[in-house]
Amino acid sequence: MQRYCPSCGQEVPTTSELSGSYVMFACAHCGLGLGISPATEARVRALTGGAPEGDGTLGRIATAKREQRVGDIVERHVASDARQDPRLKPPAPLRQMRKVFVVEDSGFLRQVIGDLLVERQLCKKVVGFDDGPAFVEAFAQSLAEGGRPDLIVLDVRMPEMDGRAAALIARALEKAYESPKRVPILFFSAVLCDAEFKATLKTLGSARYIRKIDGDVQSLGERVAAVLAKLIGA
Amino acid sequence: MSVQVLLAGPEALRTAVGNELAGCAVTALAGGADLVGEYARCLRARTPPTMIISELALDQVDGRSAIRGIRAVERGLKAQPVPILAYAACRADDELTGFIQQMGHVVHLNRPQDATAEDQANRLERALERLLQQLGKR
Repeated sequence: MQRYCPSCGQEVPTTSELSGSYVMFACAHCGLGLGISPATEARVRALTGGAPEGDGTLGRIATAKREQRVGDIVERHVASDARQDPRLKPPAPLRQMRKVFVVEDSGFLRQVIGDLLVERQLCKKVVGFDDGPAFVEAFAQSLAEGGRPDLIVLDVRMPEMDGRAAALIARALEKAYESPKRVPILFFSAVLCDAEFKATLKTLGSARYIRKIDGDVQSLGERVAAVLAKLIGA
Repeated sequence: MSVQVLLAGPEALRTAVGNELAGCAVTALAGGADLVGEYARCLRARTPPTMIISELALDQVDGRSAIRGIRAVERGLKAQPVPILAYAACRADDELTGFIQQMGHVVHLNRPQDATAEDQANRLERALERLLQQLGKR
């Protein structure tokens, strides 16, 4: 079975398994892991012209995007499908957040992360940014005008300003604005959490890390919910 | 001293500069994040600095990220761009020139590899003096 990784774009031998209501995919090159629901799988299959049974969702999305046939339409339906899935319930102990900033340079991943948070009713609104400076701009504005986010989800590897720098700048801005409470930060990355990164997490405070793929059968959504329970609490 | 300057650089340079440079009050900072935070604090207090001097090789958050952060904060807070003197031990190659042009209002000053902290402070003082004259602050 051939699939194209939405992150690195390479045709890769991927592994997939059904976990809860998600089919998990893992890219052997970049370690990217994603969860796509069967409902979304069916919708994408219809949109992409009924590709043969057994072809991977991500492969079809990546191929379609390359050929510029469906592009954003597919991504929109991925989002709407996920939101409408009645089997997905919010984790009981988590309070629903009002606004979450998602900083991720991959548009597809940004969409998936946002959908995960919304479909599980973890938050009402997701604001996406494709690089660190855009996030810093919005975060400074939110501190100045009120309406700061309840959570920041940050990719680590980004071209203009990496996630660590963006997080440290966000903490410095909170200090400048004498913000009474630090906004929790969830790093969502394929980068390994080494000793240096752990030290950064400690410096930042109220920060956690989740790998895009961990190799276990637990779904990505469940892992995100579990980490959020520790990070933001009930 | 009505002219305020934010300076981010290594400890030896901060010590050599002290709290005054070319007749300007200097607030010295260790890292890029501190620099962006202090700049935001100044904007919030409506006392923006006249100039920022930033070494490009800073701890944790490097000078490039800090300068990008400063410009992002300005956009977010709808503030005028502050002139920045980027201080680096490298020549302005195409990449650095492109970065400077992209950021706007950034001047590059080359730092000789073997310069002592005192030499660097003197060099910065002369550059600051020239820039302040160009800005009409002298």
